[in-house]
Amino acid sequence: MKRWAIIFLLLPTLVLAQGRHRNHNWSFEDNENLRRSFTGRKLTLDNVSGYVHVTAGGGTVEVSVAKHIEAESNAALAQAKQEVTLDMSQQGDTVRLYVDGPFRHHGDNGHRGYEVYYDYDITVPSNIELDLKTINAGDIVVKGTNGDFNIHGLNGGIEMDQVSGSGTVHTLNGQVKVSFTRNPTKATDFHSLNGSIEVHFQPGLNADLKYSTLNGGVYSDFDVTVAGDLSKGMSHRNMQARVGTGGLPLSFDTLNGSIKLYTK
Amino acid sequence: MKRYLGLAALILTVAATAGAQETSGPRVVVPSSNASQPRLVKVTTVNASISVHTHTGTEVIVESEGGRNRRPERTPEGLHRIDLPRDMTVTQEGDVINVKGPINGGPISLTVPVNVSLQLKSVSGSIHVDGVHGEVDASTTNASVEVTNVSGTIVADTTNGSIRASMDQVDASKPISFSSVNGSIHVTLPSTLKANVKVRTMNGSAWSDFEMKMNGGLNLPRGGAITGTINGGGVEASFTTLNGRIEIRKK
Amino acid sequence: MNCERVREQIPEVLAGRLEGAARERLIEHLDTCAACRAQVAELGVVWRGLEAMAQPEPSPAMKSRFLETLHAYEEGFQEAQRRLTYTPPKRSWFWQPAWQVVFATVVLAAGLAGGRYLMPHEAAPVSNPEIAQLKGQVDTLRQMVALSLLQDQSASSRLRGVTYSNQMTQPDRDVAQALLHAVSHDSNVNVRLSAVDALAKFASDPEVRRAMADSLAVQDSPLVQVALIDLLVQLHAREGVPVILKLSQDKDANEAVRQRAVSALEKLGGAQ
Repeated sequence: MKRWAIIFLLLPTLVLAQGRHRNHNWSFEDNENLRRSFTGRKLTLDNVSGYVHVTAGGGTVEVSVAKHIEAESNAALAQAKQEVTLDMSQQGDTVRLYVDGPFRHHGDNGHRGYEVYYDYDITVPSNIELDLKTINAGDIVVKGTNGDFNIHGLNGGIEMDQVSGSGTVHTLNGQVKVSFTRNPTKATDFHSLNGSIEVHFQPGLNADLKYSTLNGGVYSDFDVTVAGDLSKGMSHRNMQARVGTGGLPLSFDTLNGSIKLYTK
Repeated sequence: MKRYLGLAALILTVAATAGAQETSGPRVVVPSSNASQPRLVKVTTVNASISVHTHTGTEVIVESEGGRNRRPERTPEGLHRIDLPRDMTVTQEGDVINVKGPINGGPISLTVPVNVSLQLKSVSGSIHVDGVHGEVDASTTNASVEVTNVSGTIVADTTNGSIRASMDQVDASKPISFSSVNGSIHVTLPSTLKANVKVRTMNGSAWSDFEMKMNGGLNLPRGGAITGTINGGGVEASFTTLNGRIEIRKK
Repeated sequence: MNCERVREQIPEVLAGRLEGAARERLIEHLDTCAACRAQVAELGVVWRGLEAMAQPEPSPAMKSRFLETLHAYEEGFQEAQRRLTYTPPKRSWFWQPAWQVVFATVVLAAGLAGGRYLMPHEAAPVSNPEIAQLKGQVDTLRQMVALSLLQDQSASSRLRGVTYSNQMTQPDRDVAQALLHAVSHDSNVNVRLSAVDALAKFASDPEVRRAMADSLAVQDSPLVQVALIDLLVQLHAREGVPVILKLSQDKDANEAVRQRAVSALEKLGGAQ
């Protein structure tokens, strides 16, 4: 009886939060929507579970977060609300979104009767510098920005659409897909352990490439001239090549997955 | 130690023949250009055949028709492969380039500067060399060796294959030597060559259209070594087989 | 052409075996490289000594003088008779071919300098014992060159080393050792075959004959097996009988080789 009441109460928020059971069949849920507004030139987001979608548009950083808790009991639910928090603050011109909880601390054994998800939909100025991190249950999608970036996923893919800038794109289990409106001007690295890497550059790319894959080939639609110190030998595990006149250092690394590079 | 530290040595160019044909594997071109021209190119393969041709450039270009994997990866539309086949390594130390072919690889084809020496070794892959001026050392177990339009010296051996060689010029200071256990040996040499010839074939026969001055009489035990001189004698030339036929021809 | 390559080619140049274009390139290199010139200068002292003792002090080798001494060497070395002790080359820097050549020539130069000190400048031709000594030492040089070639990583060079040693008029035990080593251990079958032939001149040495029989036991190339069997027969080397007998009965051996072994046994058994 009580359980039904809770669900009934939560229904609107469930709908709003696109409620879905993520990983567990726990039936105790809570949903919350958070909104904050900042003006900043850099966004640092350190998330644990949930997706991160960042889109360029406007002059301010508009953060909209859907928080979703699944718990095995009421007590666990309460515990979740208390233990897991999202700090949103601004330090100088850096907007900082940080999810804190027992899992951040050493010695945490991970046994909890709850899971807390934060899904972010953020609008940012297009020249924002991005430092985004998430671990589980969500992908990272960035659209239209042109600032430098440092993107780390763990169990999720990374997609950067119509962006420019330089930086690092890194995930363990997930696909990496990036398309540039302008080619990077500084060293940029793309890394996935289990997952393919697909990058679309603009024509006229001049870069020094390093690429490596174990299972999966490396493909391009442009000619490369492999250059490097061959005294240690060059094999498919450590290729170095030059495209165009070279210069810009780009690296692509995957273990299980192919690497596809486009300029057309 | 002939290592040249820090010299960016090998340049790899990938042919943009993508999508043109349905190749079974990657096709990677490795041109080499360095301050000092390559002096020696070594290629070692297991099953892949080795084919060497010359060009007027100073680079060494290595093309490999990649391996035949159990699940050949399909090349995505519009793209071509730019990594070396598995198990293939290209190393350069100073003026020596070393190519270790893929273990189950397709044919390896090299284009080298004219003045270069070669050491080519394969278990089951055939070896073919054309046009080189230098030392050619070719060795295969189960396949054949063919060396044409070469100047310099040749040391060639095979166990079960045949040897065909044609030399434009023979370096007088370096012995040439051909041996095959079960296969035949056909060598064409300049007609003005001065040589000390030694021919050994146990169960086969030996033929030549050179005028050879034989050492010793004709009552040699069958299969023994026959020695003689051509044009007064000079470079040491040795031909040995067990069961094959030996032919030494004038150019 | 770099210095490394030049030094490797010095033995060949000394032996008169460097041909037209390559010789020109080497000489061009000498025009611009003081270090290599100095090395050649030491050799130049030696070879000019062969011509006549009356030559003036050597100055850094110049093109024409170098060629002269080359010519003198070519004519002179044929008569060398002298033996010197030799230890098998080790892997240290000292035993690199170029250094061996330098060492030998320093020894020779010292001998020459000593000789010249003792004998004042004369226009008279040199006395025979000195020429003989010089030429003996030249033979030693040739031997060192042969032995270092036998260690080269290129099969063509090793083959050349065998041929060089074949051309020595009185090669000694150390050459025999090196050739035996080549027969048993060289990775190239052509080199092994050539080494077998080169061993023929050691017929008189029973230890060499025994070693050849031992080598036969570990051969895997049918061509080399046959060559060794034939040589043992040619040398009437009864030391080979046990190994040849075993080979004739070895089911894994090549058929032709077994036949050869059988007929060899008849010939060897029939002798004496």
